[in-house]
Amino acid sequence: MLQAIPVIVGIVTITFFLTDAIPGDPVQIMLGPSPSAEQAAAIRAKYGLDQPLWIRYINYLGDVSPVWIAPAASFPFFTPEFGVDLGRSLYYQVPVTQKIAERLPVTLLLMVSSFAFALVIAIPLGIISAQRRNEPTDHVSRVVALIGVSTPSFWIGLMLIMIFAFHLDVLPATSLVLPWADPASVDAATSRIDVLVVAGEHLLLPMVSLGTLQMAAITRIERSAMLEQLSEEYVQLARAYGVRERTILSKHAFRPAQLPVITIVGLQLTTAIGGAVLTETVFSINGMGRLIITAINNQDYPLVMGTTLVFGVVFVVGVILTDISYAYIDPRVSYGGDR
Amino acid sequence: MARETTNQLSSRQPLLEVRNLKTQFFTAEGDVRAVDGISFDVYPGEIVGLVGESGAGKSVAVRSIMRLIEEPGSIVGGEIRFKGDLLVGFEEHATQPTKREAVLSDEVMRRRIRGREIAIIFQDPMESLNPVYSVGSQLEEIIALNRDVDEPTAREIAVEMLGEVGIPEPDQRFSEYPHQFSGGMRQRVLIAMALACEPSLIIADEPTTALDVTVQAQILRLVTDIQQRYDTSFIWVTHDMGVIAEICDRVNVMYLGEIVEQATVDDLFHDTKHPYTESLLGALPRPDTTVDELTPIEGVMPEAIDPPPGCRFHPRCPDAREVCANRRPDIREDPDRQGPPHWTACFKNDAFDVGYWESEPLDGKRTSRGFDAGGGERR
Ligand SMILES: Nc1ncnc2c1ncn2[C@@H]1O[C@H](COP(=O)(O)OP(=O)(O)O)[C@@H](O)[C@H]1O
Ligand code: SF4
Ligand SMILES: [Mg+2]
Repeated sequence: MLQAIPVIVGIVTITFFLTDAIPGDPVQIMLGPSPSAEQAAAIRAKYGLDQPLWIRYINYLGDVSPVWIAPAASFPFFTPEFGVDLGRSLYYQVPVTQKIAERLPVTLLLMVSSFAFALVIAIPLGIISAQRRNEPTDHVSRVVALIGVSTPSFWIGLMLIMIFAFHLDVLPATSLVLPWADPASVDAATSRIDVLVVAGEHLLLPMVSLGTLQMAAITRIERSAMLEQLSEEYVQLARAYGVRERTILSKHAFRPAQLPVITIVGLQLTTAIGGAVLTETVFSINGMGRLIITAINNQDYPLVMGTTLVFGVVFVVGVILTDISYAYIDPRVSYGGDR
Repeated sequence: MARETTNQLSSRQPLLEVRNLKTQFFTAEGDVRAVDGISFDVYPGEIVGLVGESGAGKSVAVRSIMRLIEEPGSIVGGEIRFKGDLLVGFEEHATQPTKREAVLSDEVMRRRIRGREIAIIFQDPMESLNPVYSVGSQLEEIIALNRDVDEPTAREIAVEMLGEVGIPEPDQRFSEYPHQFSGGMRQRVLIAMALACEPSLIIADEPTTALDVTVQAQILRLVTDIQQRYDTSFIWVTHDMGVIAEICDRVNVMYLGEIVEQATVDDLFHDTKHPYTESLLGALPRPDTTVDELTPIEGVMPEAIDPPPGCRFHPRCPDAREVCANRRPDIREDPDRQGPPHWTACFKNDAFDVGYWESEPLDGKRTSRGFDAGGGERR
């Protein structure tokens, strides 16, 4: 797990230099097309933009890392620095961390629920497909999966909005409500139950829209992994010793079959991050995805870097979770250590 | 010891009767007649060998007994009886393979026969244990299922069995995973699994082929020892004549889906009748060499998808004559023979009257095994 640190430093570094390479001048955006030279210089000095790139990079690393050693004027000439400081957003004029704290739960809710939706449907569907290979059920699931894999999530989102929000008018088409939100802050809600219902209604369409691709991909992997397991010699052996077919499916073949599934879920995380940006745009959800787009459009350097960094951390955490579940299932992989 | 009782076997009821069993695979390239009408018996307490080159159909034959044949294969004919139950049964003269009424249902087969009455040990110990469950839990599950005991008792039996098959510190090793066991140790675990179910018949499908020679010798000793203590019957599949000599009572020699010779071990080695058996034995300079490593048997076995006409061995048989290329010998008992039965599927057997001895040798070049020197000298 310690290997996550260099990965995150790498993400910070790449983000920093890429952000710097975005064409355009943030000062110009802040001050309008023709600022006076003094004004511009003052702004540059205020945000540290007058310093050389590498100094800004070192400073940024120091601000971002939870623990850092900063130079000091007096003995012993350095002081420890604690806490994460992502700077102030140029556009919103609030600390970047505050903005992210506001938006991150929304995106996490969307991503986690869409993965849950995908797994809950894909795992049974894949198993049934494998068990009834080349029967009608299998063909149907194959076609559904193919459509799911090849349909862009934003298009699914637009269709869902058209059908369920505009034509049928049964579900809301915009924004999310957090299930743990204060009932007082939610329209027409008096109790926790109300909030949960409203949250569920809001979540349904974006979750399906983002989760369909994952669902389709996982179904295919689950099917092929189960098929592979069902022809394994140890599954044959279980059969030869009179183990029930149901037990073979739910235990002997199931557990080892989840290894490739976990790998795919881990990989799908990247697609899901991209998908979340699109889904938030389509459903006008104020999450991290829309935040990063606003940040880029306004050349908000600190905000771009902050959001990218957080996405990077989300990804790394996802990979670590993948590794842990892999090691949990497969005794041949040990927790950390000899990798 | 079982071997001494062989002569009286015919008066006892066989445990397992296989009659004219046929199993085929329907592949895109054509129908593979992997097992093409074999018959043999297993009596209580004996070790019956099934020997032949790889691809002869040995695994398909033993898996057919347990009805483990899967797509694209299926059993298409014959009859298998075990302790009076019909495991496989087809109508003899039907045009389509038709199952008979009395055949055990899949559910009864699973509950009453598999594991409980017939246990199997597969060839590859590295592939036969589930990598994500501990060795002990796998044993425990199978024992609880086939012995009607609760889990703590199953666990006790499992640990005891692991000790029995020579695994040191069975208590600790119980909770370890397959990857922590060597090939030989895993095969011991699989033997323990088979024994722990206390079946009447254990089918061992080349259980030592994947192991090195010393481990193989240890396992053979273990099995003969156990066999004498528990009086379990075995079908021992191998392609190694040395193994046959060491442990078997009676032997079936298989070639391309057929049994070509069936005799007691003594008769098979000292009164060899079939030219194929002869070449298997001729190919045996050391007891630990396997058939596949030696090639005094000219050529390779043809594919079961397109077997040669006439006697299936004739393209490789040093004694082949013209009649062998045209007519197919079934397996027959030697008519004027005293002692235990000895069956062969070869026109040299006196039970056939097809004019073998008058027929022309098939291939003039092949004089090494001597018909130019007088093909009749053997009789
Ligand atoms: N699943 C299968 N599909 C097609 N052919 C098969 C299958 N399994 C076995 N066979 C064929 O059956 C024949 C006998 O195979 P097998 O019983 O495994 O031989 P042995 O155990 O004697 O080495 C071979 O020709 C093999 O190609
Ligand atoms: S029948 Fe002919 S070809 Fe076949 S084994 Fe006998 S001698 Fe050889
Ligand atoms: Mg085999």
